[in-house]
Amino acid sequence: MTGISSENERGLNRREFILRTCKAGIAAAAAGSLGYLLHDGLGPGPSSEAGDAQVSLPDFSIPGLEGKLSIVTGMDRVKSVHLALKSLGGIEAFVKKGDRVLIKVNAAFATPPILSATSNPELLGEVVCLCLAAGAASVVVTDNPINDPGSCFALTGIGDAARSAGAQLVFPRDGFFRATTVAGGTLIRDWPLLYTPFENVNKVIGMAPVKDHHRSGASMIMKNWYGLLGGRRNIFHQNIHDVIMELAVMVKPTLVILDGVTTMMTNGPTGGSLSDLKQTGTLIVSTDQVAADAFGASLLGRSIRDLPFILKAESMGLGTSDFESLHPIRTSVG
Amino acid sequence: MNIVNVRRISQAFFLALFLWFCIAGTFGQEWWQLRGWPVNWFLQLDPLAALGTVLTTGTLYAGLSWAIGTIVATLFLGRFFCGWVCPFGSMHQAVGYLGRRAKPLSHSLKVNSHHPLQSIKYYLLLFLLAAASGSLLAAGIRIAWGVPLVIPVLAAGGIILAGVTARRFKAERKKAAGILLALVGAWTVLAFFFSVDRMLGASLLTGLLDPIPLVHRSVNLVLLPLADATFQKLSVSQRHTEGAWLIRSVFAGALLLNLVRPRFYCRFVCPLGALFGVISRYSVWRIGRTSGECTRCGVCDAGCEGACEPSSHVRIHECVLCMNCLNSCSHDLITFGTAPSASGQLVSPDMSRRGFVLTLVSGVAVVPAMRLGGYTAKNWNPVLIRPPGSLSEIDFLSRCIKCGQCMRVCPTNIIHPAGLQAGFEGLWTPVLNFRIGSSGCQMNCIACGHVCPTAAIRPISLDEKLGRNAFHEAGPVRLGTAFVDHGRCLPWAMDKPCIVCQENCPVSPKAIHVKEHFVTVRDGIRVVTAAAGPVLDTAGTPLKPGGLATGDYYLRFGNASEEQRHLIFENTERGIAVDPGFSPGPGISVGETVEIQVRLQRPQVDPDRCIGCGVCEHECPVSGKRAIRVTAENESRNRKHSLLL
Amino acid sequence: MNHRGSRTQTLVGFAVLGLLCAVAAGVFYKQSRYDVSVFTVSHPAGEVRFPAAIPAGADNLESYLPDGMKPMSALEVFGRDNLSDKIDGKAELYLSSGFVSLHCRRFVKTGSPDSWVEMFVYDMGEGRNAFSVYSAQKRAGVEEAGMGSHAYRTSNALFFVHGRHYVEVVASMEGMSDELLAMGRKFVAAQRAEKNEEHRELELFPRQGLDEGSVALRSSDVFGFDRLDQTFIARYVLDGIPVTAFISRRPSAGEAEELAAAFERFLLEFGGVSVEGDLPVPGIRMVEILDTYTVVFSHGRVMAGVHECDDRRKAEELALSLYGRLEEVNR
Repeated sequence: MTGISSENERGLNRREFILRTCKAGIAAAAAGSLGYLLHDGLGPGPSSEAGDAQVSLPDFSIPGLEGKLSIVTGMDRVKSVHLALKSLGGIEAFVKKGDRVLIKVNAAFATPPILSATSNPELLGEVVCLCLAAGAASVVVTDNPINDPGSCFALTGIGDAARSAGAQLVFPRDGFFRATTVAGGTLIRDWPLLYTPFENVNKVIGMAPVKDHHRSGASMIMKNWYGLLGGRRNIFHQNIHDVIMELAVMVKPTLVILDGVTTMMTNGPTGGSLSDLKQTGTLIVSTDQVAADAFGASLLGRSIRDLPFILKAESMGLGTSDFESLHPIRTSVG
Repeated sequence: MNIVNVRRISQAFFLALFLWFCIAGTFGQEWWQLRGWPVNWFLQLDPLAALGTVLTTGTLYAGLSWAIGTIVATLFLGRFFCGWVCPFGSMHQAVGYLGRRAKPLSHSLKVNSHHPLQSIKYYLLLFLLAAASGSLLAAGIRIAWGVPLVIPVLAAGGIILAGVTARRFKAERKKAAGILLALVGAWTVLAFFFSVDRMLGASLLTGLLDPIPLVHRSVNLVLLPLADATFQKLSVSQRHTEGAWLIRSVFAGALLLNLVRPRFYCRFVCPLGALFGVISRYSVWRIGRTSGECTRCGVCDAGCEGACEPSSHVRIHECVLCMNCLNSCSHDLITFGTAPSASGQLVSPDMSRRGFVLTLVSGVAVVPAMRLGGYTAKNWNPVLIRPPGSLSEIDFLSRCIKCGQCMRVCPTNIIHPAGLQAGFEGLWTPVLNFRIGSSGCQMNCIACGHVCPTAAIRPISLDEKLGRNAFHEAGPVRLGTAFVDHGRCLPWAMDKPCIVCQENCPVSPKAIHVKEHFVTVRDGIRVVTAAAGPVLDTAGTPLKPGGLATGDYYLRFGNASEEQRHLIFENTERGIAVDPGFSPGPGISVGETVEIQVRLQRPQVDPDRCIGCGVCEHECPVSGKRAIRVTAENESRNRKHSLLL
Repeated sequence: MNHRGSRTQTLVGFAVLGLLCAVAAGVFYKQSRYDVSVFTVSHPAGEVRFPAAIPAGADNLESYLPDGMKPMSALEVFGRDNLSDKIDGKAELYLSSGFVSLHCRRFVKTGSPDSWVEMFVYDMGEGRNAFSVYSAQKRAGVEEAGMGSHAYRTSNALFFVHGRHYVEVVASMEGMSDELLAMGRKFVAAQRAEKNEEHRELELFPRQGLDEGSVALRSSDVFGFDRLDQTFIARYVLDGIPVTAFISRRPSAGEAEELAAAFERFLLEFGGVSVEGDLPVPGIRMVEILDTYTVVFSHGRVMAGVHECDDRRKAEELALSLYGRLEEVNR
């Protein structure tokens, strides 16, 4: 950047002067106009850390397919899910060619699959295969675990199952969360939501095991959406039933798969001992997440009244707790 | 009229005006108090603050538009601000003058000669501006990112170009340009693969070295409290400044260095001067020599305040327009005119390409590196309580120029310059200390926000602060929450009645409520030796006469099903008198055991109502480490720090 | 020392000095123009409160100002949950009588800062409630205000009912009657749409011996009986003996009778003794309690009686008179 001006010559003096004056004038005009354009008389409003606009998830449910409920008894998950889907019109009724599917699993803890604290990897693999076979362009599997994501997806077997079936496993990252506010909600307001995996997705499947839960009574499909929240979400445990209701408002899935083949009867949500589990041999596939959870309550030996979030969700018009009124299709495998 | 005299008058005028603004920083409506005095005018004239905030926020806030005027004037006149207006500069010039008075000309020639290290200030300027431009770069990258293929193409193109030009080592200019492009390309590619927000961030560090905020800090927070200690005119009680030692040292150091070289700070450190120097490239009027016989007497060089060597190639970017050379030349060879100097001139500072690039990159990189400590995220410091109306931390650090005006104006003297509580970039930013001032944050006071020149503390209305009317749903502005330390609080830990915090809580309904609790005092179990109506004689450790008469002590006796508790009115060493309506009756007999109990009202904070004003902490009689302390949980400015749903 | 261009220097010098003067003038001018609200550190009315949000378009009471008076403080609005912040324990009286909101403000006489008044406008929801709180607090031996039947004056205050509002205008000193009356009249004129409810019960009290100014309406917990509410009470003096009569209109005849029976049971529970009477009033009940006599009966939808009279004969006399009046009105 060194610049030594040329020797002082009278002839060039005037030109140089005019040039310099013009440059100064232009610079002054530039400074003035920049200042004018950028002028902010009011100052900042109360700031939020996330400067981005709020997001919300679209409704992923398929019109005309509401209120479908299929209950399959049997201990073989793969056969059960096939039978359940067939009874509802097959996976093709839900996943069309070119669809982009997201499966929200429960990968909250880094526990082995036999403890049934997380989604079953075999079942997940099968559902991924089914989606791809129906012509889905991509299948994304994701969750924001409570423990460290790497070990959670690995130790639960979900990571391997997803990858080997051909799905794309998406780990939660800081940049993937965007602020969301649940319509009419008092708790989930301006709260980080794991949003990026949902971009360009048009079908959402919720997949969760039936578990006892120390705080809310049960953790099934609706509670499973908790894993989409970021931030210090523990704070919602102070008001667990209302937040589960708001989660059900936040996510309207295409399909839910409630795995009650092995139910964690006590010491949920982490469990820890096989003695906590009971082989209840039931798989529920539904388009009504409230009805699915209502039925799941029976597997835990609880009534709907024991689980206030079910009635709260029903009162918001998100489904019905009276699952029998949906005329569930009951079948059995072997 | 001598132009140098005019310059001196101007310097004196602005210095006096500055000192007056410092005095008038006192909150109040008297003629000598704040009123409408434009105490921020010097800060608003400061183009470094304006430019810094434009880079970090993309806006030019309100009064900072004055800086446009300064810039335009500098574009035409050169560094007039340094020589005629800047109060810090005037101080330096004065000390420097004292330093070289009665010294021979050769000494002056030596100390006022140009030193190559004077270009350091340009690197400092670049560093500070680079650190402020991180978010702008990130926005640019994000925009480009949004357009598909732009970034990969650019990155690829940049690398290719760098590769091509790297082959030609001959022309240094092209090589350096190539390296620059390569670096930018590499950085862009990195940003593409990694999160842009992690790689780039902006922080307004200009306030650390910018002379106008510096001199405001130093005078307002160090000199003024020292001077006022005797007169006690500006404030009711002695004002303190936490961390004053550092501010004083920097100030004193800068002034004393003038004895080494006059205007040391202006020449070597001042980033504002550097900015003016860069802008004065095209200045229409400039100091220069006319063509005439110069006797090389050196008088002009000896008096030069900017060390710009007017006798030879005059360095326009260093010239502070002191006019000493013009005045002292006995042959009238120096002029302030439109023609370039007859003996040559230099308009641009001496910066190496390499230095430029390195400084630029490290300035941009330093911000995310600083923030690795996590103190703007998970590792946020709970003692960092910012003034009411402050923006959330990252936005705050993008605007605060560390001028100390909020600290100066706070009527209860609770705002203080931070040390490293907020990390290095938070040095000298405002943080609240409730022990040190005269009370907590006053409910009806909104002074700090209204005096902040850059709106790092927003100028909130009283309604917003108190959560009234239009802000009823949002609720009052909370600075934090008070927490009772059960191990130190007198009624919780030491069985001593005290409800000072609850009494002083200014919120209505109070955020501190008390729960009554009766506890048997030490040596409180006594045996009745005589009973005559309401007066009992008891055996046990001698009591302090009158010690139980405060109205907090009760006598408890009886078994579980028929417990009675009576207020003790008076006591002697062995005798206890309870309320006159009491008659022992069959319950009390000689030999019976009674207990002296104290009625404690144990304070409890209601987090729904506490606004963190700190009055409780200030009033707590446990005066060392207070038994009730405010920390920043639940502060309004950041929802992530909320305590409850 | 610079001779050449010294004229230029002088000119420039003066220009600069002129500029400095302009700066000084500008600064001096600026200091007088500032936002006063930033400097109100202490609330003018005293301690800080969190009053309820003032609804948009709230009546700020300024339109009732007579000449020579101006506002002294801001309008304050209180609702059910914070009325006690303003009137402390007395809030209970209003809250149990259907209180809706209170608008209050202070006004001062121009030029006389010690002469100020505070105007309280209580919105009680309906005229009956307003009359209830008005009569419950009526001070004895007061002057008429010349403002209609439900208004009275003391030496430093004016109290009246207008429609569903109960208004108090309280002055800081005596001798401000003119201003008080002016404000009262302006309020009545402005709120012209409302009329005072004609309380039919007032007609039901027999005139003889009645102290007209004593008629009061108790909203709840009348005579300590929680089931008795909305009862008009009137004081009589019969041959020098004070007797109190009461009337309460119930929704139906059955309920009036049932309430009369319940009231009798209530008195008996508290140690009263039933007394046989021979009054020609169907279903009349008399209870002697604490050496006083209480008579209770019902007539159609009205439950009425005489409350704790020392003299049995007088109690009976008034009861009979009351019954007769009720019969008469009903025809």
